[in-house]
Amino acid sequence: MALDQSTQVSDDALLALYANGDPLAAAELTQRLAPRLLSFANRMLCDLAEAEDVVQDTMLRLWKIAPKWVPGAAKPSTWAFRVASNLCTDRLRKRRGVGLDEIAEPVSDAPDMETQLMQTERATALDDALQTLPDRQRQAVVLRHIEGLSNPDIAEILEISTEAVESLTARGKRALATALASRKEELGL
Amino acid sequence: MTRPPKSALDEGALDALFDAAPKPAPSAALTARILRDAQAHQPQTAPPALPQRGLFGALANALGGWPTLGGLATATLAGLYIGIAQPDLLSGQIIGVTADATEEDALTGLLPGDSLFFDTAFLDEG
Repeated sequence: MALDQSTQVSDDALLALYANGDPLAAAELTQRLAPRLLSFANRMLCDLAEAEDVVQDTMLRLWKIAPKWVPGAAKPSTWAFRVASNLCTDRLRKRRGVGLDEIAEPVSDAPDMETQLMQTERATALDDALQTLPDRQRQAVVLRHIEGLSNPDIAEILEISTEAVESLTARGKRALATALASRKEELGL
Repeated sequence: MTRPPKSALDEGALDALFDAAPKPAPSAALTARILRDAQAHQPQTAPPALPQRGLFGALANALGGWPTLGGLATATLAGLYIGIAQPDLLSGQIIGVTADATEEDALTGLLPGDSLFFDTAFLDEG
């Protein structure tokens, strides 16, 4: 399979190709899924190293389930987000008892340039505010508003109804708006 | 429904923050780790399985395959037919042998061209 043709191939088909021994399918699936999973996990855990472990573990589970995958039953991306979400929740539970101050600051690889300082501060402020949300609200807000997933997909990932997703994201956004209110001027908003 | 306080960030500003949220790209090391796992767990495409040979298949193979079996079957059926139908040509001769015919009578007709190729006189002498 040529990589330039792979953009036409669904995630489902790529997974089937992988299960049938195609040597390029895994690279294409990794290229499609890993960045989104990493972004999500990093935002949930605020720790890039931990987020990378979650992504590797999620992808590993995808490789293992590939031979038994039923095409059309679920989207591989939705399935992967659900696994990553559960792994993040497990890690967050293990952190219980650890104070907020002890949680590592989000790692930013943005270059130290004055023109990007404000952007970095805004990103940090958003991440800080996200950390004040309950886990489920944070998951729903990140999946909906940062990763751009649809409400039905999020409902499948979090195993709740679409209405519950709408409720979680609405409450999460209101809480964020309130949490960031005091920093409006500082962030130039 | 609870509304955020008036001083809260407006929705447009919040959406701008979401849009600008940085997304870390997977490092080369992470990608390599993922692909190493993929390679380790990728099912290998098995070569097409050979057809199962049972006892009969093994026996046929040992005898030389289907052509040999075909010859054997033909010979078997021919023997069966001869045994059951007892064609006239044979039955007369067999009856001749088993009844009170002499040895010469019994051989007459079985040997090609009797008197032309084979002199049966010596049978009387013995």
